Amino acid sequence: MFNQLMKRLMLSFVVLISAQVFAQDEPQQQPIKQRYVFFPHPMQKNWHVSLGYTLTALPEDITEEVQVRAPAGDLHALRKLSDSWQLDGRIKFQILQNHFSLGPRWVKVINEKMSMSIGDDFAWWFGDLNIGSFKTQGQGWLNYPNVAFGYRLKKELLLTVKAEALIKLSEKTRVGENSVSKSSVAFNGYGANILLEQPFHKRRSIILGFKAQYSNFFWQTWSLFETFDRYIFYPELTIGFIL
Amino acid sequence: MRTRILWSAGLTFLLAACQKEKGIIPVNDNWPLFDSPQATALAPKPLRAMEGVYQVEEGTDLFGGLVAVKTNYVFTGTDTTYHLSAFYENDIGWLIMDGKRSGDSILLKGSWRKMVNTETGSVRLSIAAGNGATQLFGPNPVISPGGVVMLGQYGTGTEVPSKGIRFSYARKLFNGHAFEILAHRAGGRTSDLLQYSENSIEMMRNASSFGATGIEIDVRLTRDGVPVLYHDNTLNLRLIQKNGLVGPIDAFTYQQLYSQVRLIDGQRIPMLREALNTVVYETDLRFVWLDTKFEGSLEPIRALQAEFLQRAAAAGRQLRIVIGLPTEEALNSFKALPGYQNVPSLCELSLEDVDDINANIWAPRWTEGLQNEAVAGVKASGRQAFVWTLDVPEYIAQFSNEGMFDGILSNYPSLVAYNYYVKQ
Repeated sequence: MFNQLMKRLMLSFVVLISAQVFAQDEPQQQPIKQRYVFFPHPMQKNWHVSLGYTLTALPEDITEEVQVRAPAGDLHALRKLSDSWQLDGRIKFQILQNHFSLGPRWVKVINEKMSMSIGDDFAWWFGDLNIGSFKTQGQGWLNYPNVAFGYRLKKELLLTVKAEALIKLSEKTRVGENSVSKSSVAFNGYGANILLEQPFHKRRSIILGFKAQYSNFFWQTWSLFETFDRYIFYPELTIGFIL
Repeated sequence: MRTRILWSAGLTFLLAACQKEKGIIPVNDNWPLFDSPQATALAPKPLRAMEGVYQVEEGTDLFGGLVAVKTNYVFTGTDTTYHLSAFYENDIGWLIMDGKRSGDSILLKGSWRKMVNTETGSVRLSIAAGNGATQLFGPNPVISPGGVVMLGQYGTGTEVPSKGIRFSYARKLFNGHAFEILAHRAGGRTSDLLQYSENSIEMMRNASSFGATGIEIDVRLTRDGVPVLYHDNTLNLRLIQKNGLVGPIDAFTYQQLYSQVRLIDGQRIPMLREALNTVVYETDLRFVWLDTKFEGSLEPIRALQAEFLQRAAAAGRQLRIVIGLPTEEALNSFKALPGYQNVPSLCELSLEDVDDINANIWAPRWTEGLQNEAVAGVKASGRQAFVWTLDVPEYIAQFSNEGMFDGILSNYPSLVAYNYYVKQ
């Protein structure tokens, strides 16, 4: 599975690098005036912040007849550290279960249209479902090494293609008085994102994105206690407004 | 040009990520020696004598340190087929084998499966005369530690078995207290990618080879009032093959379902009557939990319950059939049955409800925890307590070792069986 991921990443990398080779002689990229949170590019302002939601279709293998499509609030903040370094923080919240991630990313302008970033986010999720016959709590650590390529389709339309690996670092669940802890580092799957950011109204920009995640653990399904060690498809839609 | 290349790259990337999951790969079960005329049917007696906990001395990568070996059978009208199953902890695994006699040796051929994923493969084992076969063929075989040694190979997927296996008899299977190993939906969910669909006749026939002593099945009524086995409220592609029919299952007559609907594996949706008939006459299962998934009178399933309890008794079977009550609506329907306090039942609701209807079994959800005090109280009142639906390996071990429940319902009966049988 890991080999397949690497092959796919290499394929995209080769194609994208080939594309930028054609543009070697073009001038350096102009600063982008609008704010963005996904596009891999040096920031002009110190903070870029967005608020929106993500909607993930949970697979039938796990939810069975009940098709759960609960949206998660999505607060995303990007902090400029230097021209090349940024801090990427994100909170996905459903109140009863939430996911916090934070990590550095290094950005590089390739040419007039293209740029890229490499990042590594560490995430902590927790859930507490002491409701009715569910007396359960769960928490865990995840790691998302990622690489993103950005392309300015038009002056203000920003396209980002991002690939990330999902590494499970630990998980702890509690049921009644009993608990189970696992702390082995394990490759857990991967995700491919395609995102568009563009001005929407006044200074606001809109984000529209799709993520194809292929993993054997997804934080929103911890309370279903599924035991599959096989890669399951989780499509996720992202909609947000840059504040 | 560059834009096109970029769009192509993006689409390639996304499409690559959206690939369909691979299914189970058939194993290579070709073993000329086993299939040759010299290999003859093996009597059930030596197979039963092989039952026990075995130390894995070679093959620990796949099987872990111990396997619990247990026989089971299916009776199909004129013939009884015995299998030998081995349950182990690694990746929720099981191994199901057929046995034959070849000269003074025993041959065992079968396949293994990891339930956490789709890995499977084949196994060839033999017990030579000097490794216990002579003793197993004897009139009253009593096996001591190390008295039976199974030697052979296993392979993964379609490869010819080549990796070594050595199982050495260690002790008898634990049998310290009465305990039911209950298979969810007659053996496991369709999403577990077993060979058979959930809630199907073939799944029932094979439930005990997965370690089950009993099954839980989901009962719904068709439009013409026929109790059938089906979990979901609606016909959907999760459970059935594409056929154009959509909507609630109770919108269709049984004849419509029989003639037009096939489960994922090609079987028909079974009537409850067929299912109970299969359990009574074709399996060694000793417990059936009828999970009522419909609203309305429970008379049709009460009538079948009474009929097949009588049939089982007449056939000399120690079989229990209980009506499961998961909701207040089902409880109220149950209370409408004549003499309901004497009808065998299992109640998932409160302890007060259990007392009220004189349920034989209280069955809380596993996410409420061990509840040892409450379970002890239930047992003190002459009832039993089962827990559902427990699949997480670590929690199965905790409930098995620290809990007081009389039974565990699971999609992985093999793992419940392993945890029970290896106790000392």
